[in-house]
Amino acid sequence: MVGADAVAALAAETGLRLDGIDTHGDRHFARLSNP
Amino acid sequence: MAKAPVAGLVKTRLCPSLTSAEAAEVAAAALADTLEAVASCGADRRIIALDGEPGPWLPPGFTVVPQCGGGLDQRLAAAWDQAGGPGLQIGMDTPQVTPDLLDDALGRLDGPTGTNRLGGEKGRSGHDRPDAMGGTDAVLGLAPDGGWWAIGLQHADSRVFLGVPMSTTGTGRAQLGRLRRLGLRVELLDQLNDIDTVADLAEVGALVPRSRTGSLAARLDVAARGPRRCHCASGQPSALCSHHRPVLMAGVSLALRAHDGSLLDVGTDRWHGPPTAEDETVLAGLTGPVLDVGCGPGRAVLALVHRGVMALGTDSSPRAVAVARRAGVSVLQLSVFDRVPGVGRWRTALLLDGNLGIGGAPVRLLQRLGDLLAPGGEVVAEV
Repeated sequence: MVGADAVAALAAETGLRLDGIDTHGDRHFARLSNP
Repeated sequence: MAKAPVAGLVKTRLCPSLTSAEAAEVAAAALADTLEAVASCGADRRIIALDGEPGPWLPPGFTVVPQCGGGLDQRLAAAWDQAGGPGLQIGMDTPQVTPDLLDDALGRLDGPTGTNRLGGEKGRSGHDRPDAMGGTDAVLGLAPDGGWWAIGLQHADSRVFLGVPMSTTGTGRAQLGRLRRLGLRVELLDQLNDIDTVADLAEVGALVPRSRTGSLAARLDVAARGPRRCHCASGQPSALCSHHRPVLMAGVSLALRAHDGSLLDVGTDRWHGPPTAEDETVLAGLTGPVLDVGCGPGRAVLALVHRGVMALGTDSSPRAVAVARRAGVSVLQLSVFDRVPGVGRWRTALLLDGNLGIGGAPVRLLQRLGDLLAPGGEVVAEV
């Protein structure tokens, strides 16, 4: 698992845009869009 | 292959952390759990090659044959010679084995068409090499300590065992090499940790807490007797530390072992079950077509299709693909880094559970998904 705090850095590195991180229960889901 | 659970003669490596009587209790529990799994699997014959005398622990339906003397390689060869084949052989040190694992192994020998049905008329009729539609020649289940926990063969052949160094950290590798040098097609089974030490007992017991072995491991408090200490400042043994207790008490079916010996429940029950409420919430917001990368048994793809969303799963595991297809899921057996259809046209790429770790390089994976997605498409990744 990649921690939620690392997702923004990942997004920047991959060229995807981090649109948000949704939390459902104890799970977290990042939404990354393709420009 | 089993030993009668007599104190002083079995599980001696658990001593002195355990008394010899306690070690024998562990052996009896592991044996009973193992025999229960064997009794519930689909094999037509069940044979126990026994060192010692049968006791009340032996359930009905098993044929008992004595082990011969000599080294383990000789005893294995002799046991197979008595049992014939095709067949699958395990020991008594992996009480976490399940009927499903055994049936999977038997099925690989059996083949998709059942031409080598174990113990059935066709299976008994020939020692011929299986045809292209039959099963594999051999299966081998390796253990993390370098040994092996299961071996399956189409027919008995003493050359498989004689001279292979047994009970070493290189036994599994040597056994695999021997099978291949004999020209046999070998499929590897899932790895299982066998119980040699108190630490092993703590770990295996945590994996199957409701089994006889797991209950006994808890009663004997073996986690406190093992040498491993948590990496945190508490200094507690890993299994007792507050960092790990919830995991170990959760009744996990599969765990990851960290470098310090700690265990992490990876939630396989969730993979096989219906979508959770959290899954449903995520899936409700997705736009098709959806590519579920590392779909496993396919719970998300199936749920999406039921919602009327076009979805396709991919998984590199043939077992996962087989399970998914049996459930009616559209799935391709491939790596997402292979040639995936619809490059540049997917609206959503889904990475549930721990799938952001696929390939061990999240950047490379996300870049690949970026290539697969349509402009404006979205990756939804559990983090």
